[in-house]
Amino acid sequence: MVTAPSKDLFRTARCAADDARLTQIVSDCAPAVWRFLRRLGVPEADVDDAVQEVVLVAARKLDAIAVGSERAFLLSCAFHVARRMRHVNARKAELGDEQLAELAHHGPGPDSVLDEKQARVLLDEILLRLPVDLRTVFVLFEFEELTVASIAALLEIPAGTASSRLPRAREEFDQHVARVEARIRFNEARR
Amino acid sequence: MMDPERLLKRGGTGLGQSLLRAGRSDAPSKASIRRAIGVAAAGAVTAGGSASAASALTFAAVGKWVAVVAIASVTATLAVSAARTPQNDAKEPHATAETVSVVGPPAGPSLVSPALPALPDLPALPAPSVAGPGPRRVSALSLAPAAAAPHARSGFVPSPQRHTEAATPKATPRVSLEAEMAMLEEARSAIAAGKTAQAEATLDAYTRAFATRHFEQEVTVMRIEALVASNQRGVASSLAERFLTEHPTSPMARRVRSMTGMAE
Repeated sequence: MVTAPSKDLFRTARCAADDARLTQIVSDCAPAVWRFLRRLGVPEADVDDAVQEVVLVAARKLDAIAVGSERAFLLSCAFHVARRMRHVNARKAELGDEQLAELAHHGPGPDSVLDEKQARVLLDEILLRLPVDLRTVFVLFEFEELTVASIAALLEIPAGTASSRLPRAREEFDQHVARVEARIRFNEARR
Repeated sequence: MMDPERLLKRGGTGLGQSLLRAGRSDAPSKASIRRAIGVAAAGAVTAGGSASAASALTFAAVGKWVAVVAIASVTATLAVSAARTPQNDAKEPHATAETVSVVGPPAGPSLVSPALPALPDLPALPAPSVAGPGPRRVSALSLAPAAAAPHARSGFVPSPQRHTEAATPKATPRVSLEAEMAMLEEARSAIAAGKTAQAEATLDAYTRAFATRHFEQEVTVMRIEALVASNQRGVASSLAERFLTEHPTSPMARRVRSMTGMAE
Protein backbone atom coordinates (compact mmCIF):
# COMPACT_ATOMS: atom_id res chain seq x y z
CA MET A 1 0.00 0.00 0.00
CA VAL A 2 1.34 3.38 -0.95
CA THR A 3 1.15 5.88 1.89
CA ALA A 4 1.07 9.60 1.40
CA PRO A 5 4.15 11.55 2.49
CA SER A 6 3.89 12.82 6.06
CA LYS A 7 2.85 16.38 6.76
CA ASP A 8 6.29 16.96 8.26
CA LEU A 9 7.98 16.07 5.00
CA PHE A 10 5.65 18.39 3.12
CA ARG A 11 6.40 21.16 5.58
CA THR A 12 10.14 20.61 5.32
CA ALA A 13 10.01 20.56 1.53
CA ARG A 14 7.86 23.69 1.48
CA CYS A 15 10.24 25.54 3.82
CA ALA A 16 13.18 24.58 1.67
CA ALA A 17 11.30 25.91 -1.33
CA ASP A 18 10.64 29.19 0.52
CA ASP A 19 14.32 29.51 1.34
CA ALA A 20 15.30 28.86 -2.23
CA ARG A 21 12.72 31.29 -3.57
CA LEU A 22 13.73 34.07 -1.21
CA THR A 23 17.40 33.60 -1.97
CA GLN A 24 16.69 33.67 -5.70
CA ILE A 25 14.54 36.79 -5.38
CA VAL A 26 17.25 38.59 -3.44
CA SER A 27 19.97 37.47 -5.82
CA ASP A 28 17.96 38.64 -8.82
CA CYS A 29 16.53 41.86 -7.45
CA ALA A 30 19.08 43.20 -4.96
CA PRO A 31 21.08 45.09 -7.62
CA ALA A 32 17.94 46.91 -8.79
CA VAL A 33 16.93 47.67 -5.21
CA TRP A 34 20.39 48.96 -4.42
CA ARG A 35 20.51 51.12 -7.53
CA PHE A 36 17.02 52.49 -6.91
CA LEU A 37 17.87 53.43 -3.34
CA ARG A 38 21.08 55.16 -4.44
CA ARG A 39 19.31 57.20 -7.09
CA LEU A 40 16.58 58.13 -4.63
CA GLY A 41 19.22 59.72 -2.48
CA VAL A 42 20.23 57.12 0.10
CA PRO A 43 23.94 57.74 0.76
CA GLU A 44 26.40 55.03 -0.13
CA ALA A 45 27.23 54.51 3.53
CA ASP A 46 23.62 53.66 4.34
CA VAL A 47 22.40 51.83 1.28
CA ASP A 48 23.47 48.36 2.42
CA ASP A 49 21.42 48.75 5.58
CA ALA A 50 18.45 49.90 3.53
CA VAL A 51 18.77 46.91 1.20
CA GLN A 52 18.87 44.61 4.20
CA GLU A 53 15.69 46.16 5.55
CA VAL A 54 14.01 45.51 2.23
CA VAL A 55 15.19 41.91 2.27
CA LEU A 56 13.79 41.39 5.77
CA VAL A 57 10.41 42.72 4.69
CA ALA A 58 10.46 40.39 1.72
CA ALA A 59 11.29 37.46 4.01
CA ARG A 60 8.36 38.27 6.26
CA LYS A 61 5.97 38.72 3.36
CA LEU A 62 7.21 36.04 1.03
CA ASP A 63 3.78 34.51 0.68
CA ALA A 64 2.37 37.83 -0.51
CA ILE A 65 4.87 38.17 -3.35
CA ALA A 66 3.20 36.97 -6.52
CA VAL A 67 5.35 35.06 -8.96
CA GLY A 68 6.57 37.46 -11.61
CA SER A 69 6.07 40.51 -9.36
CA GLU A 70 9.12 40.06 -7.20
CA ARG A 71 11.05 43.04 -8.52
CA ALA A 72 8.09 45.38 -8.28
CA PHE A 73 7.39 44.21 -4.74
CA LEU A 74 10.95 44.78 -3.62
CA LEU A 75 11.14 48.18 -5.29
CA SER A 76 7.93 49.14 -3.53
CA CYS A 77 9.45 48.06 -0.21
CA ALA A 78 12.57 50.01 -1.05
CA PHE A 79 10.51 53.10 -1.70
CA HIS A 80 8.89 52.88 1.70
CA VAL A 81 12.18 52.13 3.43
CA ALA A 82 13.77 55.13 1.74
CA ARG A 83 10.89 57.36 2.74
CA ARG A 84 11.36 56.40 6.37
CA MET A 85 15.02 57.29 6.15
CA ARG A 86 15.49 60.95 6.85
CA HIS A 87 18.22 61.19 4.22
CA VAL A 88 15.90 60.89 1.28
CA ASN A 89 13.37 63.43 2.39
CA ALA A 90 15.71 65.89 4.03
CA ARG A 91 18.82 65.50 2.00
CA LYS A 92 19.68 68.39 -0.23
CA ALA A 93 22.15 68.73 -3.06
CA GLU A 94 25.55 69.35 -1.57
CA LEU A 95 27.37 70.90 -4.49
CA GLY A 96 26.72 74.28 -6.00
CA ASP A 97 26.47 74.96 -9.74
CA GLU A 98 30.12 75.96 -9.93
CA GLN A 99 31.22 72.73 -8.30
CA LEU A 100 28.99 70.69 -10.55
CA ALA A 101 30.49 72.36 -13.56
CA GLU A 102 34.01 71.67 -12.29
CA LEU A 103 33.10 68.07 -11.70
CA ALA A 104 31.63 67.75 -15.18
CA HIS A 105 34.49 69.58 -16.81
CA HIS A 106 37.36 67.46 -15.51
CA GLY A 107 37.60 64.03 -17.07
CA PRO A 108 40.38 61.56 -17.67
CA GLY A 109 40.66 62.13 -21.39
CA PRO A 110 41.40 65.16 -23.53
CA ASP A 111 37.78 65.32 -24.59
CA SER A 112 36.75 65.62 -20.94
CA VAL A 113 34.64 62.48 -21.02
CA LEU A 114 33.42 61.85 -17.51
CA ASP A 115 34.41 58.66 -15.82
CA GLU A 116 31.51 56.72 -14.44
CA LYS A 117 32.16 57.55 -10.81
CA GLN A 118 32.26 61.27 -11.48
CA ALA A 119 29.17 60.96 -13.63
CA ARG A 120 27.26 59.23 -10.82
CA VAL A 121 28.24 61.90 -8.30
CA LEU A 122 27.03 64.54 -10.72
CA LEU A 123 23.90 62.56 -11.54
CA ASP A 124 23.02 62.13 -7.85
CA GLU A 125 23.56 65.80 -7.17
CA ILE A 126 21.18 66.71 -9.99
CA LEU A 127 18.62 64.13 -8.90
CA LEU A 128 18.70 65.56 -5.37
CA ARG A 129 17.59 68.86 -6.87
CA LEU A 130 14.41 67.23 -8.10
CA PRO A 131 11.49 67.07 -5.67
CA VAL A 132 11.35 63.56 -4.28
CA ASP A 133 8.02 62.70 -5.95
CA LEU A 134 9.37 63.66 -9.37
CA ARG A 135 12.72 62.04 -8.66
CA THR A 136 11.07 58.73 -7.77
CA VAL A 137 9.04 58.51 -10.98
CA PHE A 138 12.04 59.58 -13.04
CA VAL A 139 14.34 56.99 -11.50
CA LEU A 140 11.84 54.17 -11.81
CA PHE A 141 11.09 54.98 -15.44
CA GLU A 142 14.51 55.89 -16.79
CA PHE A 143 16.77 53.59 -14.75
CA GLU A 144 14.61 50.67 -13.69
CA GLU A 145 12.55 50.83 -16.89
CA LEU A 146 9.21 50.26 -15.27
CA THR A 147 6.13 51.27 -17.21
CA VAL A 148 4.15 54.28 -16.08
CA ALA A 149 1.31 51.97 -15.06
CA SER A 150 3.66 49.84 -12.95
CA ILE A 151 5.10 52.94 -11.35
CA ALA A 152 1.65 54.18 -10.47
CA ALA A 153 0.79 50.84 -8.89
CA LEU A 154 4.08 50.68 -7.02
CA LEU A 155 3.75 54.19 -5.62
CA GLU A 156 0.03 53.78 -5.04
CA ILE A 157 -0.80 56.89 -7.02
CA PRO A 158 -3.21 57.36 -9.89
CA ALA A 159 -1.83 56.54 -13.32
CA GLY A 160 -2.55 60.09 -14.41
CA THR A 161 -0.42 61.46 -11.59
CA ALA A 162 2.50 59.23 -12.55
CA SER A 163 2.05 60.24 -16.18
CA SER A 164 2.17 63.93 -15.35
CA ARG A 165 5.16 63.64 -13.01
CA LEU A 166 7.43 62.06 -15.62
CA PRO A 167 7.57 64.95 -18.11
CA ARG A 168 7.91 67.43 -15.24
CA ALA A 169 10.80 65.40 -13.86
CA ARG A 170 12.42 65.22 -17.29
CA GLU A 171 12.05 68.93 -17.77
CA GLU A 172 13.69 69.70 -14.44
CA PHE A 173 16.45 67.16 -15.08
CA ASP A 174 17.15 68.70 -18.49
CA GLN A 175 17.19 72.21 -17.00
CA HIS A 176 19.76 71.26 -14.36
CA VAL A 177 21.91 69.50 -16.96
CA ALA A 178 21.64 72.53 -19.23
CA ARG A 179 22.77 74.82 -16.40
CA VAL A 180 25.82 72.67 -15.76
CA GLU A 181 26.65 72.61 -19.47
CA ALA A 182 26.21 76.38 -19.67
CA ARG A 183 28.54 76.93 -16.75
CA ILE A 184 31.13 74.63 -18.33
CA ARG A 185 31.04 76.71 -21.50
CA PHE A 186 31.23 79.89 -19.46
CA ASN A 187 34.24 78.62 -17.51
CA GLU A 188 35.96 77.48 -20.71
CA ALA A 189 35.44 80.87 -22.23
CA ARG A 190 37.11 82.52 -19.22
CA ARG A 191 40.16 80.28 -19.37
CA MET B 1 -1.85 55.68 -23.59
CA MET B 2 1.62 54.55 -24.61
CA ASP B 3 4.60 55.30 -22.49
CA PRO B 4 7.09 57.82 -23.86
CA GLU B 5 10.44 56.63 -25.19
CA ARG B 6 13.08 56.29 -22.50
CA LEU B 7 15.70 59.02 -22.52
CA LEU B 8 18.56 56.53 -22.78
CA LYS B 9 17.09 54.99 -25.90
CA ARG B 10 17.30 58.33 -27.65
CA GLY B 11 21.06 58.02 -27.68
CA GLY B 12 23.40 60.93 -28.06
CA THR B 13 26.65 62.09 -26.57
CA GLY B 14 25.61 65.00 -24.39
CA LEU B 15 26.19 65.37 -20.69
CA GLY B 16 22.65 64.21 -19.91
CA GLN B 17 23.16 60.95 -21.79
CA SER B 18 26.47 60.35 -20.01
CA LEU B 19 24.83 60.80 -16.66
CA LEU B 20 21.94 58.51 -17.51
CA ARG B 21 24.28 55.79 -18.79
CA ALA B 22 26.34 56.01 -15.61
CA GLY B 23 23.21 55.73 -13.48
CA ARG B 24 21.88 52.78 -15.42
CA SER B 25 25.13 50.84 -15.19
CA ASP B 26 25.57 51.41 -11.45
CA ALA B 27 25.62 48.21 -9.42
CA PRO B 28 26.39 47.10 -5.88
CA SER B 29 29.53 45.25 -4.97
CA LYS B 30 29.49 41.48 -4.70
CA ALA B 31 30.00 41.89 -0.97
CA SER B 32 26.78 43.90 -0.74
CA ILE B 33 24.86 41.21 -2.57
CA ARG B 34 26.33 38.52 -0.34
CA ARG B 35 25.27 40.46 2.74
CA ALA B 36 21.77 40.83 1.36
CA ILE B 37 21.54 37.11 0.68
CA GLY B 38 22.82 36.43 4.18
CA VAL B 39 20.09 38.59 5.61
CA ALA B 40 17.59 36.74 3.45
CA ALA B 41 18.63 33.50 5.07
CA ALA B 42 18.24 34.97 8.52
CA GLY B 43 14.94 36.53 7.57
CA ALA B 44 13.59 33.25 6.25
CA VAL B 45 14.32 31.62 9.60
CA THR B 46 12.61 34.29 11.62
CA ALA B 47 9.81 35.25 9.28
CA GLY B 48 7.21 33.54 11.42
CA GLY B 49 8.15 35.21 14.68
CA SER B 50 5.97 38.28 14.64
CA ALA B 51 5.14 40.12 17.81
CA SER B 52 1.42 39.80 17.23
CA ALA B 53 1.74 36.04 16.86
CA ALA B 54 3.76 35.89 20.05
CA SER B 55 1.12 37.79 21.94
CA ALA B 56 -1.43 35.10 21.07
CA LEU B 57 0.43 32.51 23.09
CA THR B 58 -1.72 30.96 25.80
CA PHE B 59 -1.16 28.27 28.40
CA ALA B 60 -3.64 26.07 26.59
CA ALA B 61 -1.70 26.47 23.37
CA VAL B 62 1.54 25.73 25.17
CA GLY B 63 0.04 22.59 26.65
CA LYS B 64 -1.06 21.39 23.24
CA TRP B 65 2.33 22.24 21.84
CA VAL B 66 4.17 20.22 24.46
CA ALA B 67 2.05 17.20 23.59
CA VAL B 68 2.73 17.68 19.90
CA VAL B 69 6.47 17.96 20.53
CA ALA B 70 6.46 14.74 22.51
CA ILE B 71 4.66 12.88 19.75
CA ALA B 72 6.64 14.50 16.97
CA SER B 73 9.98 13.78 18.60
CA VAL B 74 9.24 10.12 18.12
CA THR B 75 7.87 10.73 14.65
CA ALA B 76 10.95 12.71 13.67
CA THR B 77 13.28 9.95 14.75
CA LEU B 78 11.35 7.34 12.79
CA ALA B 79 10.58 9.45 9.75
CA VAL B 80 14.11 10.54 8.94
CA SER B 81 15.85 7.28 9.59
CA ALA B 82 15.54 6.27 5.96
CA ALA B 83 16.85 9.63 4.81
CA ARG B 84 20.18 9.27 6.52
CA THR B 85 23.11 9.05 4.15
CA PRO B 86 26.87 8.91 4.65
CA GLN B 87 27.02 12.53 3.44
CA ASN B 88 24.56 13.66 6.03
CA ASP B 89 26.58 12.06 8.75
CA ALA B 90 29.38 14.51 8.15
CA LYS B 91 29.49 17.08 10.91
CA GLU B 92 30.19 20.03 8.65
CA PRO B 93 28.10 22.91 9.89
CA HIS B 94 28.34 24.64 6.54
CA ALA B 95 26.84 21.72 4.64
CA THR B 96 23.21 21.97 3.77
CA ALA B 97 22.51 18.36 2.95
CA GLU B 98 21.10 17.49 6.35
CA THR B 99 17.37 17.27 6.80
CA VAL B 100 15.01 16.64 9.70
CA SER B 101 11.31 16.55 10.00
CA VAL B 102 10.31 19.56 11.96
CA VAL B 103 7.51 19.60 14.43
CA GLY B 104 4.44 21.38 13.24
CA PRO B 105 2.14 23.32 15.49
CA PRO B 106 -1.43 22.45 16.14
CA ALA B 107 -3.98 24.65 14.45
CA GLY B 108 -4.60 27.90 16.22
CA PRO B 109 -2.47 30.81 17.33
CA SER B 110 1.19 30.79 16.59
CA LEU B 111 3.24 29.19 19.29
CA VAL B 112 6.22 31.45 19.12
CA SER B 113 7.69 31.98 22.50
CA PRO B 114 7.48 35.70 23.22
CA ALA B 115 11.01 35.64 24.48
CA LEU B 116 12.51 33.92 21.46
CA PRO B 117 14.83 36.32 19.71
CA ALA B 118 14.90 36.62 15.98
CA LEU B 119 18.01 34.75 14.96
CA PRO B 120 20.39 36.39 12.56
CA ASP B 121 22.72 34.57 10.24
CA LEU B 122 24.66 32.63 12.80
CA PRO B 123 28.14 31.18 12.76
CA ALA B 124 28.68 27.46 12.64
CA LEU B 125 27.94 25.59 15.82
CA PRO B 126 28.91 22.07 16.77
CA ALA B 127 26.14 19.67 15.87
CA PRO B 128 24.30 18.32 18.89
CA SER B 129 24.83 14.67 19.62
CA VAL B 130 22.10 12.57 18.15
CA ALA B 131 21.21 9.23 19.62
CA GLY B 132 19.77 7.65 16.56
CA PRO B 133 19.44 8.84 13.00
CA GLY B 134 19.50 12.58 13.08
CA PRO B 135 20.13 14.39 9.87
CA ARG B 136 19.21 17.98 10.50
CA ARG B 137 17.88 20.51 8.08
CA VAL B 138 19.22 23.97 8.08
CA SER B 139 18.25 26.80 5.85
CA ALA B 140 20.27 26.98 2.67
CA LEU B 141 22.52 29.70 4.02
CA SER B 142 21.87 29.50 7.73
CA LEU B 143 24.59 27.85 9.69
CA ALA B 144 23.18 27.19 13.13
CA PRO B 145 21.25 24.02 13.90
CA ALA B 146 19.47 25.93 16.63
CA ALA B 147 18.11 28.33 14.05
CA ALA B 148 15.61 25.61 13.14
CA ALA B 149 13.68 25.33 9.93
CA PRO B 150 11.77 28.33 8.71
CA HIS B 151 8.03 28.14 8.98
CA ALA B 152 7.03 31.37 7.40
CA ARG B 153 3.71 30.06 6.17
CA SER B 154 2.58 28.59 9.45
CA GLY B 155 3.96 31.49 11.45
CA PHE B 156 5.64 28.99 13.69
CA VAL B 157 9.22 29.04 14.83
CA PRO B 158 10.00 26.21 17.17
CA SER B 159 11.94 26.99 20.28
CA PRO B 160 15.56 25.99 19.76
CA GLN B 161 15.38 24.09 22.99
CA ARG B 162 12.43 22.03 21.77
CA HIS B 163 14.02 21.58 18.38
CA THR B 164 17.12 20.30 20.11
CA GLU B 165 15.03 17.87 22.09
CA ALA B 166 13.39 16.58 18.95
CA ALA B 167 16.79 15.92 17.40
CA THR B 168 18.69 14.95 20.58
CA PRO B 169 16.43 13.07 22.96
CA LYS B 170 19.34 12.38 25.30
CA ALA B 171 20.31 16.08 25.87
CA THR B 172 19.93 17.18 29.47
CA PRO B 173 19.55 20.94 30.06
CA ARG B 174 21.57 22.56 32.82
CA VAL B 175 19.50 24.34 35.48
CA SER B 176 22.11 26.18 37.48
CA LEU B 177 21.64 29.92 37.70
CA GLU B 178 25.38 30.26 38.14
CA ALA B 179 25.93 28.34 34.92
CA GLU B 180 23.60 30.73 33.07
CA MET B 181 25.46 33.72 34.43
CA ALA B 182 28.81 32.22 33.50
CA MET B 183 27.77 31.77 29.89
CA LEU B 184 26.37 35.26 29.68
CA GLU B 185 29.56 36.67 31.14
CA GLU B 186 31.48 34.78 28.50
CA ALA B 187 29.30 36.30 25.79
CA ARG B 188 29.62 39.76 27.31
CA SER B 189 33.41 39.48 27.38
CA ALA B 190 33.44 38.37 23.75
CA ILE B 191 31.38 41.38 22.72
CA ALA B 192 33.68 43.70 24.67
CA ALA B 193 36.66 42.14 22.91
CA GLY B 194 35.04 42.64 19.53
CA LYS B 195 34.60 38.91 19.01
CA THR B 196 31.01 39.13 17.87
CA ALA B 197 30.88 35.76 16.15
CA GLN B 198 32.11 34.10 19.33
CA ALA B 199 29.56 36.05 21.36
CA GLU B 200 26.72 34.96 19.11
CA ALA B 201 27.85 31.35 19.29
CA THR B 202 27.88 31.55 23.09
CA LEU B 203 24.41 33.07 23.16
CA ASP B 204 23.13 30.32 20.89
CA ALA B 205 24.68 27.71 23.14
CA TYR B 206 23.02 29.37 26.16
CA THR B 207 19.64 29.26 24.43
CA ARG B 208 20.06 25.54 23.69
CA ALA B 209 21.49 24.61 27.04
CA PHE B 210 18.83 25.88 29.43
CA ALA B 211 15.21 24.74 29.50
CA THR B 212 14.37 27.61 31.80
CA ARG B 213 16.22 30.79 30.98
CA HIS B 214 16.28 33.59 33.52
CA PHE B 215 18.04 36.13 31.32
CA GLU B 216 16.08 36.04 28.08
CA GLN B 217 15.89 39.81 27.73
CA GLU B 218 19.57 40.25 28.52
CA VAL B 219 20.41 37.67 25.86
CA THR B 220 18.35 39.50 23.26
CA VAL B 221 19.97 42.80 24.13
CA MET B 222 23.40 41.23 23.83
CA ARG B 223 22.46 39.81 20.46
CA ILE B 224 21.49 43.29 19.33
CA GLU B 225 24.76 44.64 20.64
CA ALA B 226 26.74 41.96 18.80
CA LEU B 227 24.85 42.66 15.58
CA VAL B 228 25.50 46.37 15.83
CA ALA B 229 29.16 45.73 16.54
CA SER B 230 29.43 43.50 13.49
CA ASN B 231 27.70 46.17 11.36
CA GLN B 232 24.57 44.13 10.76
CA ARG B 233 22.41 47.13 11.56
CA GLY B 234 19.42 46.04 9.51
CA VAL B 235 19.02 42.81 11.43
CA ALA B 236 19.84 44.58 14.69
CA SER B 237 17.07 47.10 14.08
CA SER B 238 14.54 44.41 13.31
CA LEU B 239 15.45 42.52 16.46
CA ALA B 240 15.35 45.75 18.44
CA GLU B 241 11.90 46.63 17.11
CA ARG B 242 10.61 43.27 18.16
CA PHE B 243 12.20 43.57 21.59
CA LEU B 244 10.71 47.01 22.17
CA THR B 245 7.29 45.82 21.03
CA GLU B 246 7.38 42.88 23.40
CA HIS B 247 9.07 44.66 26.32
CA PRO B 248 8.19 48.35 26.04
CA THR B 249 8.80 49.04 29.73
CA SER B 250 11.95 47.00 30.06
CA PRO B 251 14.80 48.78 31.88
CA MET B 252 16.91 47.89 28.86
CA ALA B 253 14.61 49.56 26.34
CA ARG B 254 16.51 52.83 26.42
CA ARG B 255 19.80 51.02 25.84
CA VAL B 256 18.31 49.15 22.89
CA ARG B 257 17.09 52.42 21.38
CA SER B 258 20.46 54.02 21.94
CA MET B 259 22.36 51.16 20.33
CA THR B 260 20.18 51.11 17.25
CA GLY B 261 19.61 54.82 16.89
CA MET B 262 15.86 54.63 17.45
CA ALA B 263 13.99 57.59 18.78
CA GLU B 264 12.76 57.57 22.37
